[in-house]
Amino acid sequence: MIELNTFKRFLAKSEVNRTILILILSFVIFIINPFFYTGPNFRLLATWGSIHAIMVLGEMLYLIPGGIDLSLGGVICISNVLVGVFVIDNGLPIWLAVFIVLLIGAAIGFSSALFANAFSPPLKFLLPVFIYTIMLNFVLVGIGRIITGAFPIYGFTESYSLISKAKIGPLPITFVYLIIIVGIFSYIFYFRPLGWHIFATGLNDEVARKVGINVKKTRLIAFTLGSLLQAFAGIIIGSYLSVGSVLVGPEYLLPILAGAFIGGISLAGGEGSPYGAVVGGFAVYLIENIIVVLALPSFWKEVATGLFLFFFVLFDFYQKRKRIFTRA
Amino acid sequence: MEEIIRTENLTKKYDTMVALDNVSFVAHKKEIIGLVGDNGAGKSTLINILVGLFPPDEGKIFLDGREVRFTSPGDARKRGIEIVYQFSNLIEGMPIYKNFFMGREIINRGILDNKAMRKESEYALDEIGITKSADQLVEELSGGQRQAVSLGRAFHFGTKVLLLDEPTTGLSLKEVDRTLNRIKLIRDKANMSIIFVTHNLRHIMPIADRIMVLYHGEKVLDKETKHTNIAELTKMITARIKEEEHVDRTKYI
Repeated sequence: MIELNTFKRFLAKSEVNRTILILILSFVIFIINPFFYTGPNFRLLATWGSIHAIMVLGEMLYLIPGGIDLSLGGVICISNVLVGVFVIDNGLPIWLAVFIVLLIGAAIGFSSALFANAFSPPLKFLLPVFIYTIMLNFVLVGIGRIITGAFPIYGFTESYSLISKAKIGPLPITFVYLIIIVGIFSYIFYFRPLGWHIFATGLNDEVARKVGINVKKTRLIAFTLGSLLQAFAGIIIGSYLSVGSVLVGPEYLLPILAGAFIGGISLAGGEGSPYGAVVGGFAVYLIENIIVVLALPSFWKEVATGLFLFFFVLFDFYQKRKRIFTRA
Repeated sequence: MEEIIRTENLTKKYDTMVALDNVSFVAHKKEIIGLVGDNGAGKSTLINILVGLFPPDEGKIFLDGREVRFTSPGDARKRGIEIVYQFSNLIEGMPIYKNFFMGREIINRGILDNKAMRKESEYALDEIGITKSADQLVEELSGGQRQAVSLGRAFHFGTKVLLLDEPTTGLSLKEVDRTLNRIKLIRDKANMSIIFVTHNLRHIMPIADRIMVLYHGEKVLDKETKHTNIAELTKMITARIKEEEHVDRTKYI
Protein backbone atom coordinates (compact mmCIF):
# COMPACT_ATOMS: atom_id res chain seq x y z
CA MET A 1 0.00 0.00 0.00
CA ILE A 2 2.85 2.32 0.77
CA GLU A 3 4.05 2.13 -2.81
CA LEU A 4 0.61 2.99 -4.10
CA ASN A 5 0.47 6.03 -1.85
CA THR A 6 3.88 7.24 -2.90
CA PHE A 7 2.80 6.74 -6.48
CA LYS A 8 -0.37 8.75 -5.89
CA ARG A 9 1.58 11.52 -4.24
CA PHE A 10 4.00 11.49 -7.14
CA LEU A 11 1.10 11.85 -9.56
CA ALA A 12 -0.41 14.64 -7.48
CA LYS A 13 2.69 16.78 -8.08
CA SER A 14 1.57 19.37 -10.60
CA GLU A 15 4.80 19.06 -12.60
CA VAL A 16 4.34 15.32 -12.96
CA ASN A 17 0.70 15.13 -13.95
CA ARG A 18 1.16 17.97 -16.37
CA THR A 19 4.07 16.29 -18.08
CA ILE A 20 2.04 13.11 -18.45
CA LEU A 21 -0.94 15.02 -19.75
CA ILE A 22 1.15 16.87 -22.29
CA LEU A 23 2.73 13.63 -23.48
CA ILE A 24 -0.67 12.00 -23.89
CA LEU A 25 -1.99 15.07 -25.69
CA SER A 26 0.94 15.13 -28.07
CA PHE A 27 0.45 11.43 -28.78
CA VAL A 28 -3.19 12.04 -29.67
CA ILE A 29 -2.10 14.80 -32.02
CA PHE A 30 0.44 12.43 -33.53
CA ILE A 31 -2.33 9.93 -34.33
CA ILE A 32 -4.36 12.66 -35.99
CA ASN A 33 -1.41 14.04 -37.93
CA PRO A 34 1.80 11.98 -38.03
CA PHE A 35 3.75 15.07 -39.07
CA PHE A 36 3.73 16.01 -35.40
CA TYR A 37 6.39 13.44 -34.58
CA THR A 38 8.80 14.26 -37.39
CA GLY A 39 12.24 15.82 -37.17
CA PRO A 40 11.36 19.31 -38.43
CA ASN A 41 8.46 19.67 -36.02
CA PHE A 42 10.53 18.36 -33.14
CA ARG A 43 13.17 20.94 -33.92
CA LEU A 44 10.54 23.63 -33.92
CA LEU A 45 9.09 22.37 -30.64
CA ALA A 46 12.49 22.21 -28.99
CA THR A 47 13.54 25.65 -30.22
CA TRP A 48 10.40 27.61 -29.42
CA GLY A 49 9.36 25.52 -26.46
CA SER A 50 12.74 26.34 -24.91
CA ILE A 51 12.38 30.05 -25.63
CA HIS A 52 8.97 30.06 -23.97
CA ALA A 53 10.34 28.04 -21.07
CA ILE A 54 13.14 30.56 -20.53
CA MET A 55 10.56 33.33 -20.36
CA VAL A 56 8.44 31.37 -17.88
CA LEU A 57 11.57 30.77 -15.79
CA GLY A 58 12.10 34.53 -15.73
CA GLU A 59 8.51 35.05 -14.65
CA MET A 60 8.95 32.35 -12.01
CA LEU A 61 11.78 34.32 -10.43
CA TYR A 62 9.29 37.13 -9.83
CA LEU A 63 6.35 34.95 -8.81
CA ILE A 64 8.01 32.71 -6.22
CA PRO A 65 9.33 35.58 -4.04
CA GLY A 66 5.83 37.06 -4.14
CA GLY A 67 6.03 39.53 -7.00
CA ILE A 68 4.69 39.51 -10.53
CA ASP A 69 6.46 40.61 -13.65
CA LEU A 70 4.18 42.37 -16.08
CA SER A 71 7.13 44.05 -17.78
CA LEU A 72 8.39 41.01 -19.63
CA GLY A 73 6.83 42.09 -22.93
CA GLY A 74 8.53 45.45 -22.60
CA VAL A 75 11.86 43.91 -21.66
CA ILE A 76 11.77 41.49 -24.61
CA CYS A 77 10.77 44.35 -26.89
CA ILE A 78 13.44 46.79 -25.78
CA SER A 79 16.18 44.18 -25.76
CA ASN A 80 15.68 42.97 -29.31
CA VAL A 81 15.34 46.56 -30.48
CA LEU A 82 18.46 47.70 -28.66
CA VAL A 83 20.59 44.93 -30.14
CA GLY A 84 19.46 46.20 -33.56
CA VAL A 85 20.26 49.78 -32.61
CA PHE A 86 23.69 48.88 -31.24
CA VAL A 87 24.73 46.50 -34.02
CA ILE A 88 23.15 47.99 -37.16
CA ASP A 89 22.96 51.69 -36.33
CA ASN A 90 26.10 52.02 -34.22
CA GLY A 91 28.26 49.22 -35.57
CA LEU A 92 29.02 47.57 -32.23
CA PRO A 93 30.21 43.96 -32.35
CA ILE A 94 27.38 41.52 -31.66
CA TRP A 95 28.86 40.09 -28.47
CA LEU A 96 29.23 43.56 -26.98
CA ALA A 97 25.68 44.54 -27.93
CA VAL A 98 24.33 41.35 -26.39
CA PHE A 99 26.35 41.92 -23.25
CA ILE A 100 25.12 45.51 -22.86
CA VAL A 101 21.51 44.49 -23.45
CA LEU A 102 21.75 41.73 -20.86
CA LEU A 103 23.11 44.30 -18.40
CA ILE A 104 20.22 46.62 -19.19
CA GLY A 105 17.77 43.74 -18.62
CA ALA A 106 19.39 43.01 -15.27
CA ALA A 107 19.22 46.69 -14.35
CA ILE A 108 15.48 46.75 -15.15
CA GLY A 109 14.92 43.78 -12.82
CA PHE A 110 17.07 45.43 -10.18
CA SER A 111 14.91 48.55 -10.34
CA SER A 112 11.73 46.45 -9.91
CA ALA A 113 13.24 44.91 -6.81
CA LEU A 114 14.18 48.33 -5.46
CA PHE A 115 10.57 49.37 -5.87
CA ALA A 116 9.29 46.19 -4.22
CA ASN A 117 11.74 46.65 -1.35
CA ALA A 118 10.75 50.27 -0.82
CA PHE A 119 7.09 49.29 -0.38
CA SER A 120 7.43 46.11 1.65
CA PRO A 121 7.15 45.49 5.43
CA PRO A 122 7.91 47.01 7.92
CA LEU A 123 6.25 49.83 5.98
CA LYS A 124 2.56 49.91 6.89
CA PHE A 125 1.26 50.94 3.48
CA LEU A 126 2.30 48.42 0.91
CA LEU A 127 2.27 48.68 -2.85
CA PRO A 128 2.40 45.56 -4.98
CA VAL A 129 5.29 45.40 -7.42
CA PHE A 130 2.99 44.94 -10.43
CA ILE A 131 2.22 48.66 -10.32
CA TYR A 132 5.83 49.27 -11.21
CA THR A 133 6.27 46.41 -13.68
CA ILE A 134 3.11 47.32 -15.62
CA MET A 135 4.41 50.87 -15.86
CA LEU A 136 7.71 49.49 -17.18
CA ASN A 137 5.89 47.44 -19.78
CA PHE A 138 4.33 50.50 -21.35
CA VAL A 139 7.36 52.70 -20.92
CA LEU A 140 9.81 50.20 -22.41
CA VAL A 141 7.67 49.49 -25.46
CA GLY A 142 7.18 53.25 -25.84
CA ILE A 143 10.91 53.90 -25.65
CA GLY A 144 11.44 51.20 -28.27
CA ARG A 145 9.02 53.02 -30.57
CA ILE A 146 10.65 56.37 -29.91
CA ILE A 147 14.13 55.06 -30.69
CA THR A 148 13.19 53.28 -33.89
CA GLY A 149 10.25 55.32 -35.03
CA ALA A 150 8.44 51.96 -34.95
CA PHE A 151 10.40 50.82 -38.04
CA PRO A 152 11.90 47.34 -37.82
CA ILE A 153 15.67 47.18 -37.97
CA TYR A 154 16.98 44.76 -40.60
CA GLY A 155 20.37 43.82 -41.99
CA PHE A 156 21.82 41.50 -39.38
CA THR A 157 24.61 39.22 -40.51
CA GLU A 158 24.36 35.48 -40.40
CA SER A 159 26.36 35.31 -37.18
CA TYR A 160 23.59 37.03 -35.21
CA SER A 161 21.17 34.23 -36.21
CA LEU A 162 23.60 31.70 -34.76
CA ILE A 163 22.55 32.79 -31.25
CA SER A 164 19.21 31.11 -31.84
CA LYS A 165 19.70 28.79 -34.80
CA ALA A 166 23.01 27.07 -34.11
CA LYS A 167 22.98 23.41 -33.18
CA ILE A 168 25.01 21.45 -30.73
CA GLY A 169 24.95 17.93 -32.08
CA PRO A 170 21.31 17.22 -32.83
CA LEU A 171 20.08 19.73 -30.23
CA PRO A 172 18.96 23.25 -31.11
CA ILE A 173 21.06 25.73 -29.15
CA THR A 174 18.03 27.26 -27.40
CA PHE A 175 17.36 23.86 -25.86
CA VAL A 176 20.96 23.77 -24.63
CA TYR A 177 20.51 27.24 -23.13
CA LEU A 178 17.41 25.97 -21.38
CA ILE A 179 19.17 22.92 -19.94
CA ILE A 180 21.97 25.11 -18.60
CA ILE A 181 19.55 27.65 -17.12
CA VAL A 182 17.36 24.97 -15.52
CA GLY A 183 20.51 23.36 -14.12
CA ILE A 184 21.64 26.63 -12.57
CA PHE A 185 18.24 27.34 -11.03
CA SER A 186 17.72 23.81 -9.79
CA TYR A 187 21.05 24.16 -8.03
CA ILE A 188 20.11 27.52 -6.54
CA PHE A 189 16.60 26.43 -5.55
CA TYR A 190 17.34 23.08 -4.02
CA PHE A 191 20.97 23.08 -3.00
CA ARG A 192 21.66 26.63 -1.86
CA PRO A 193 20.27 28.64 1.08
CA LEU A 194 19.22 31.32 -1.41
CA GLY A 195 16.58 28.90 -2.72
CA TRP A 196 15.08 28.54 0.74
CA HIS A 197 15.13 32.29 1.17
CA ILE A 198 13.36 32.91 -2.14
CA PHE A 199 10.55 30.53 -1.17
CA ALA A 200 10.37 31.93 2.37
CA THR A 201 10.14 35.49 1.04
CA GLY A 202 7.21 34.49 -1.15
CA LEU A 203 5.41 32.50 1.55
CA ASN A 204 5.67 35.14 4.25
CA ASP A 205 8.11 37.98 3.87
CA GLU A 206 7.42 39.39 7.31
CA VAL A 207 8.22 36.16 9.12
CA ALA A 208 11.20 35.64 6.82
CA ARG A 209 12.53 39.03 7.87
CA LYS A 210 11.91 38.28 11.53
CA VAL A 211 13.83 35.03 11.41
CA GLY A 212 16.77 36.95 10.06
CA ILE A 213 16.60 36.52 6.29
CA ASN A 214 17.68 39.45 4.21
CA VAL A 215 14.48 39.57 2.14
CA LYS A 216 15.54 42.72 0.33
CA LYS A 217 18.71 41.11 -0.94
CA THR A 218 16.77 37.96 -1.86
CA ARG A 219 14.32 39.99 -3.93
CA LEU A 220 17.11 41.96 -5.60
CA ILE A 221 18.81 38.77 -6.74
CA ALA A 222 15.61 37.03 -7.87
CA PHE A 223 14.08 39.94 -9.80
CA THR A 224 17.41 40.88 -11.39
CA LEU A 225 17.91 37.34 -12.65
CA GLY A 226 14.26 37.26 -13.77
CA SER A 227 14.52 40.28 -16.03
CA LEU A 228 17.95 39.16 -17.17
CA LEU A 229 16.33 35.98 -18.52
CA GLN A 230 13.64 38.04 -20.29
CA ALA A 231 16.30 40.19 -21.93
CA PHE A 232 18.07 37.01 -23.00
CA ALA A 233 14.81 35.64 -24.44
CA GLY A 234 14.33 38.94 -26.28
CA ILE A 235 17.77 38.62 -27.85
CA ILE A 236 17.09 35.02 -28.88
CA ILE A 237 13.78 35.91 -30.53
CA GLY A 238 15.33 38.93 -32.26
CA SER A 239 18.12 36.72 -33.50
CA TYR A 240 15.71 34.02 -34.73
CA LEU A 241 13.71 36.56 -36.71
CA SER A 242 16.86 38.55 -37.65
CA VAL A 243 15.10 41.74 -36.78
CA GLY A 244 14.92 44.39 -34.11
CA SER A 245 11.28 45.29 -33.95
CA VAL A 246 8.91 46.80 -31.39
CA LEU A 247 6.31 44.30 -32.55
CA VAL A 248 8.28 41.51 -30.89
CA GLY A 249 7.56 41.21 -27.21
CA PRO A 250 4.30 42.64 -25.93
CA GLU A 251 2.23 39.71 -27.20
CA TYR A 252 4.13 37.28 -24.96
CA LEU A 253 2.99 38.71 -21.63
CA LEU A 254 -0.27 36.83 -21.14
CA PRO A 255 0.79 33.50 -22.68
CA ILE A 256 3.86 33.45 -20.43
CA LEU A 257 1.80 34.23 -17.35
CA ALA A 258 -0.56 31.45 -18.41
CA GLY A 259 2.46 29.17 -18.83
CA ALA A 260 3.59 29.96 -15.31
CA PHE A 261 0.20 29.06 -13.88
CA ILE A 262 -0.05 25.93 -16.02
CA GLY A 263 3.36 24.96 -14.66
CA GLY A 264 2.07 25.08 -11.10
CA ILE A 265 3.67 28.38 -10.11
CA SER A 266 1.32 30.17 -7.76
CA LEU A 267 0.34 33.81 -8.07
CA ALA A 268 0.37 34.00 -4.28
CA GLY A 269 4.10 33.27 -4.14
CA GLY A 270 6.20 30.57 -2.57
CA GLU A 271 5.09 27.81 -4.86
CA GLY A 272 6.59 26.46 -8.06
CA SER A 273 9.70 24.88 -9.44
CA PRO A 274 12.09 25.38 -12.36
CA TYR A 275 10.87 22.12 -13.82
CA GLY A 276 7.27 23.31 -13.58
CA ALA A 277 8.28 26.47 -15.42
CA VAL A 278 9.74 24.36 -18.22
CA VAL A 279 6.55 22.29 -18.43
CA GLY A 280 4.47 25.48 -18.49
CA GLY A 281 6.63 27.06 -21.18
CA PHE A 282 6.47 23.99 -23.40
CA ALA A 283 2.73 23.63 -22.82
CA VAL A 284 2.07 27.15 -24.05
CA TYR A 285 4.11 26.60 -27.17
CA LEU A 286 2.67 23.14 -27.69
CA ILE A 287 -0.83 24.57 -27.91
CA GLU A 288 0.35 26.96 -30.61
CA ASN A 289 2.14 24.15 -32.40
CA ILE A 290 -0.84 21.82 -32.29
CA ILE A 291 -3.05 24.46 -33.88
CA VAL A 292 -0.53 24.75 -36.70
CA VAL A 293 -0.08 21.01 -37.12
CA LEU A 294 -3.81 20.41 -37.23
CA ALA A 295 -4.13 23.31 -39.67
CA LEU A 296 -6.79 24.96 -37.55
CA PRO A 297 -7.38 28.69 -37.89
CA SER A 298 -4.81 30.36 -35.61
CA PHE A 299 -7.51 32.15 -33.65
CA TRP A 300 -8.14 28.88 -31.87
CA LYS A 301 -4.78 29.34 -30.18
CA GLU A 302 -6.22 31.85 -27.73
CA VAL A 303 -9.26 29.70 -27.01
CA ALA A 304 -7.08 26.68 -26.33
CA THR A 305 -4.58 28.54 -24.14
CA GLY A 306 -7.35 30.05 -22.06
CA LEU A 307 -9.14 26.74 -21.55
CA PHE A 308 -5.88 24.96 -20.78
CA LEU A 309 -5.00 27.48 -18.12
CA PHE A 310 -8.47 27.42 -16.62
CA PHE A 311 -8.53 23.62 -16.52
CA PHE A 312 -5.16 23.32 -14.83
CA VAL A 313 -5.76 25.97 -12.21
CA LEU A 314 -9.07 24.35 -11.30
CA PHE A 315 -7.35 20.98 -11.18
CA ASP A 316 -4.74 22.38 -8.76
CA PHE A 317 -7.45 23.90 -6.63
CA TYR A 318 -9.22 20.57 -6.19
CA GLN A 319 -5.96 18.75 -5.57
CA LYS A 320 -5.10 21.18 -2.80
CA ARG A 321 -8.56 21.06 -1.31
CA LYS A 322 -8.46 17.28 -1.27
CA ARG A 323 -5.11 17.38 0.48
CA ILE A 324 -6.39 19.71 3.18
CA PHE A 325 -9.61 17.73 3.74
CA THR A 326 -7.91 14.38 3.98
CA ARG A 327 -5.52 15.85 6.53
CA ALA A 328 -8.22 17.19 8.82
CA MET B 1 23.81 35.67 39.42
CA GLU B 2 25.63 36.43 36.23
CA GLU B 3 24.32 39.39 34.26
CA ILE B 4 23.49 38.72 30.60
CA ILE B 5 21.62 41.65 29.15
CA ARG B 6 21.24 45.17 30.51
CA THR B 7 19.56 48.23 29.06
CA GLU B 8 20.10 51.83 30.01
CA ASN B 9 17.46 54.51 29.46
CA LEU B 10 15.92 53.02 26.33
CA THR B 11 13.58 55.55 24.75
CA LYS B 12 11.48 55.27 21.62
CA LYS B 13 9.02 57.77 20.21
CA TYR B 14 6.47 57.41 17.43
CA ASP B 15 5.84 60.94 16.21
CA THR B 16 4.82 62.61 19.46
CA MET B 17 3.79 59.51 21.34
CA VAL B 18 6.38 58.15 23.72
CA ALA B 19 6.27 54.37 23.39
CA LEU B 20 9.20 53.69 25.66
CA ASP B 21 10.41 56.10 28.31
CA ASN B 22 13.85 55.67 29.88
CA VAL B 23 13.57 51.95 30.51
CA SER B 24 16.53 50.36 32.27
CA PHE B 25 16.68 46.78 33.45
CA VAL B 26 19.02 43.88 34.00
CA ALA B 27 18.41 40.21 33.18
CA HIS B 28 20.51 37.42 34.61
CA LYS B 29 21.48 33.93 33.57
CA LYS B 30 18.81 31.24 34.12
CA GLU B 31 16.28 33.86 35.16
CA ILE B 32 12.73 34.22 33.88
CA ILE B 33 11.52 37.81 33.88
CA GLY B 34 7.83 38.46 33.45
CA LEU B 35 7.21 41.64 31.47
CA VAL B 36 3.62 42.75 31.94
CA GLY B 37 1.58 45.79 31.07
CA ASP B 38 -1.63 46.87 29.41
CA ASN B 39 -2.05 47.29 25.66
CA GLY B 40 0.18 50.09 24.46
CA ALA B 41 2.36 49.97 27.57
CA GLY B 42 5.47 49.54 25.43
CA LYS B 43 6.12 45.84 25.85
CA SER B 44 6.24 45.10 22.14
CA THR B 45 8.36 48.16 21.46
CA LEU B 46 10.90 47.02 24.03
CA ILE B 47 10.95 43.51 22.62
CA ASN B 48 11.30 44.73 19.05
CA ILE B 49 14.27 46.87 20.02
CA LEU B 50 15.90 43.92 21.75
CA VAL B 51 15.55 41.69 18.67
CA GLY B 52 16.87 44.37 16.32
CA LEU B 53 13.68 45.08 14.38
CA PHE B 54 14.30 48.78 14.95
CA PRO B 55 16.83 50.80 16.93
CA PRO B 56 15.96 52.86 20.03
CA ASP B 57 15.94 56.65 19.75
CA GLU B 58 18.06 56.89 22.87
CA GLY B 59 19.64 54.54 25.33
CA LYS B 60 22.06 51.68 25.30
CA ILE B 61 21.97 47.89 25.30
CA PHE B 62 24.70 45.84 26.94
CA LEU B 63 25.19 42.16 26.22
CA ASP B 64 27.61 40.41 28.60
CA GLY B 65 28.69 43.84 29.79
CA ARG B 66 29.62 45.06 26.32
CA GLU B 67 27.58 47.69 24.50
CA VAL B 68 25.83 46.38 21.36
CA ARG B 69 23.84 47.86 18.52
CA PHE B 70 21.63 45.51 16.54
CA THR B 71 21.38 46.41 12.88
CA SER B 72 18.83 43.73 11.92
CA PRO B 73 16.98 40.73 13.36
CA GLY B 74 19.65 38.55 11.76
CA ASP B 75 22.34 40.48 13.61
CA ALA B 76 20.62 40.02 16.97
CA ARG B 77 20.18 36.34 16.22
CA LYS B 78 23.85 35.95 15.50
CA ARG B 79 24.60 37.35 18.96
CA GLY B 80 22.43 34.71 20.61
CA ILE B 81 19.11 36.49 21.01
CA GLU B 82 16.07 34.42 20.08
CA ILE B 83 12.40 35.31 20.02
CA VAL B 84 9.13 33.40 20.01
CA TYR B 85 6.11 35.42 18.91
CA GLN B 86 2.46 35.17 19.82
CA PHE B 87 1.58 34.26 16.27
CA SER B 88 4.38 31.92 15.62
CA ASN B 89 7.35 33.08 13.64
CA LEU B 90 7.26 30.02 11.42
CA ILE B 91 6.65 29.87 7.70
CA GLU B 92 3.54 27.74 7.28
CA GLY B 93 4.13 26.26 3.88
CA MET B 94 7.48 24.81 4.89
CA PRO B 95 8.44 21.68 6.80
CA ILE B 96 9.72 21.84 10.36
CA TYR B 97 13.38 21.38 9.57
CA LYS B 98 13.43 24.20 7.02
CA ASN B 99 11.85 26.49 9.57
CA PHE B 100 14.38 25.40 12.11
CA PHE B 101 17.38 26.23 10.01
CA MET B 102 15.99 29.06 7.89
CA GLY B 103 18.66 31.72 7.75
CA ARG B 104 21.37 29.53 9.29
CA GLU B 105 21.40 26.52 7.05
CA ILE B 106 23.95 23.76 7.45
CA ILE B 107 26.05 23.66 4.32
CA ASN B 108 28.24 20.74 3.51
CA ARG B 109 30.66 20.94 0.56
CA GLY B 110 28.80 23.90 -0.90
CA ILE B 111 25.32 22.38 -0.80
CA LEU B 112 22.54 22.26 1.77
CA ASP B 113 22.87 19.29 4.10
CA ASN B 114 19.21 18.36 4.47
CA LYS B 115 19.95 15.11 6.24
CA ALA B 116 21.92 16.74 9.04
CA MET B 117 19.31 19.49 9.41
CA ARG B 118 16.48 16.96 9.67
CA LYS B 119 18.35 14.98 12.28
CA GLU B 120 19.35 17.98 14.37
CA SER B 121 15.89 19.54 14.39
CA GLU B 122 14.28 16.27 15.47
CA TYR B 123 16.87 15.93 18.20
CA ALA B 124 16.29 19.47 19.47
CA LEU B 125 12.51 18.98 19.55
CA ASP B 126 12.99 15.74 21.41
CA GLU B 127 15.03 17.65 24.01
CA ILE B 128 12.07 19.80 24.95
CA GLY B 129 9.66 16.90 24.85
CA ILE B 130 7.95 16.90 21.48
CA THR B 131 8.33 14.15 18.92
CA LYS B 132 7.63 15.20 15.37
CA SER B 133 8.90 14.24 11.97
CA ALA B 134 11.18 16.96 10.62
CA ASP B 135 9.40 16.74 7.29
CA GLN B 136 5.99 17.63 8.64
CA LEU B 137 4.59 20.89 7.32
CA VAL B 138 4.08 23.61 9.92
CA GLU B 139 0.56 24.27 8.62
CA GLU B 140 -0.39 20.77 9.81
CA LEU B 141 0.56 21.53 13.43
CA SER B 142 -1.69 22.80 16.22
CA GLY B 143 -1.03 26.14 17.89
CA GLY B 144 0.73 24.52 20.84
CA GLN B 145 2.87 22.38 18.57
CA ARG B 146 3.89 25.39 16.54
CA GLN B 147 4.85 27.18 19.71
CA ALA B 148 6.86 24.10 20.70
CA VAL B 149 8.73 24.17 17.40
CA SER B 150 9.51 27.86 17.89
CA LEU B 151 10.67 27.17 21.44
CA GLY B 152 12.76 24.23 20.29
CA ARG B 153 14.43 26.39 17.69
CA ALA B 154 15.14 29.14 20.20
CA PHE B 155 16.48 26.58 22.64
CA HIS B 156 18.72 25.06 20.00
CA PHE B 157 20.24 28.28 18.71
CA GLY B 158 19.83 30.79 21.51
CA THR B 159 22.81 31.34 23.75
CA LYS B 160 22.06 34.58 25.58
CA VAL B 161 18.51 35.84 25.69
CA LEU B 162 15.16 34.25 24.91
CA LEU B 163 12.30 36.66 24.37
CA LEU B 164 8.77 35.31 24.52
CA ASP B 165 6.14 37.65 23.09
CA GLU B 166 2.81 36.38 24.46
CA PRO B 167 3.63 32.76 23.65
CA THR B 168 0.58 31.44 25.52
CA THR B 169 -2.08 33.71 24.06
CA GLY B 170 -4.65 31.84 22.01
CA LEU B 171 -3.64 28.40 23.19
CA SER B 172 -5.93 25.88 24.85
CA LEU B 173 -5.53 25.33 28.61
CA LYS B 174 -3.67 22.08 28.12
CA GLU B 175 -1.36 23.64 25.59
CA VAL B 176 -0.66 26.55 27.93
CA ASP B 177 0.50 24.13 30.62
CA ARG B 178 2.73 22.29 28.21
CA THR B 179 4.20 25.51 26.89
CA LEU B 180 4.93 26.79 30.41
CA ASN B 181 6.61 23.50 31.28
CA ARG B 182 8.77 23.72 28.18
CA ILE B 183 9.80 27.24 29.13
CA LYS B 184 10.84 26.02 32.57
CA LEU B 185 12.71 23.16 30.94
CA ILE B 186 14.60 25.61 28.75
CA ARG B 187 15.53 27.70 31.78
CA ASP B 188 16.93 24.65 33.52
CA LYS B 189 18.77 23.23 30.51
CA ALA B 190 20.07 26.36 28.80
CA ASN B 191 22.14 29.22 30.14
CA MET B 192 19.84 31.91 28.85
CA SER B 193 17.90 34.65 30.49
CA ILE B 194 14.25 34.53 29.50
CA ILE B 195 11.99 37.55 29.13
CA PHE B 196 8.33 36.52 29.06
CA VAL B 197 5.87 39.14 27.81
CA THR B 198 2.25 38.54 28.62
CA HIS B 199 -1.13 39.96 29.48
CA ASN B 200 -2.02 37.05 31.63
CA LEU B 201 -0.71 37.19 35.20
CA ARG B 202 -1.88 33.66 35.82
CA HIS B 203 0.54 32.39 33.21
CA ILE B 204 3.50 34.34 34.43
CA MET B 205 3.23 34.15 38.25
CA PRO B 206 4.05 30.44 38.60
CA ILE B 207 7.21 30.51 36.50
CA ALA B 208 8.70 34.01 36.68
CA ASP B 209 11.56 34.77 39.05
CA ARG B 210 11.02 38.49 38.71
CA ILE B 211 8.24 40.69 37.35
CA MET B 212 8.52 44.01 35.57
CA VAL B 213 5.53 46.26 34.88
CA LEU B 214 5.42 48.82 32.10
CA TYR B 215 2.89 51.62 32.11
CA HIS B 216 2.68 54.06 29.21
CA GLY B 217 6.27 53.28 28.29
CA GLU B 218 7.64 53.67 31.82
CA LYS B 219 8.90 50.94 34.06
CA VAL B 220 6.75 51.31 37.18
CA LEU B 221 7.60 48.13 39.04
CA ASP B 222 10.45 45.62 39.14
CA LYS B 223 10.21 43.06 41.95
CA GLU B 224 10.96 39.46 42.67
CA THR B 225 7.82 37.38 42.21
CA LYS B 226 7.79 36.24 45.82
CA HIS B 227 7.72 39.85 47.04
CA THR B 228 4.68 40.82 45.04
CA ASN B 229 1.18 39.56 44.37
CA ILE B 230 -1.55 39.70 41.77
CA ALA B 231 -3.39 42.53 43.50
CA GLU B 232 -0.34 44.79 43.52
CA LEU B 233 0.55 43.96 39.94
CA THR B 234 -2.98 44.59 38.72
CA LYS B 235 -2.95 47.94 40.43
CA MET B 236 0.34 48.89 38.80
CA ILE B 237 -0.76 47.71 35.35
CA THR B 238 -3.91 49.80 35.47
CA ALA B 239 -2.33 52.44 37.70
CA ARG B 240 -3.67 55.66 36.36
CA ILE B 241 -7.18 54.60 35.49
CA LYS B 242 -9.55 56.83 37.43
CA GLU B 243 -10.91 55.31 40.60
CA GLU B 244 -14.53 55.25 39.44
CA GLU B 245 -13.64 53.39 36.23
CA HIS B 246 -11.50 50.96 38.06
CA VAL B 247 -12.79 47.41 38.29
CA ASP B 248 -11.32 45.17 40.92
CA ARG B 249 -9.77 42.67 38.59
CA THR B 250 -8.29 40.52 41.30
CA LYS B 251 -11.58 38.75 41.77
CA TYR B 252 -11.50 37.59 38.15
CA ILE B 253 -7.89 36.50 38.16
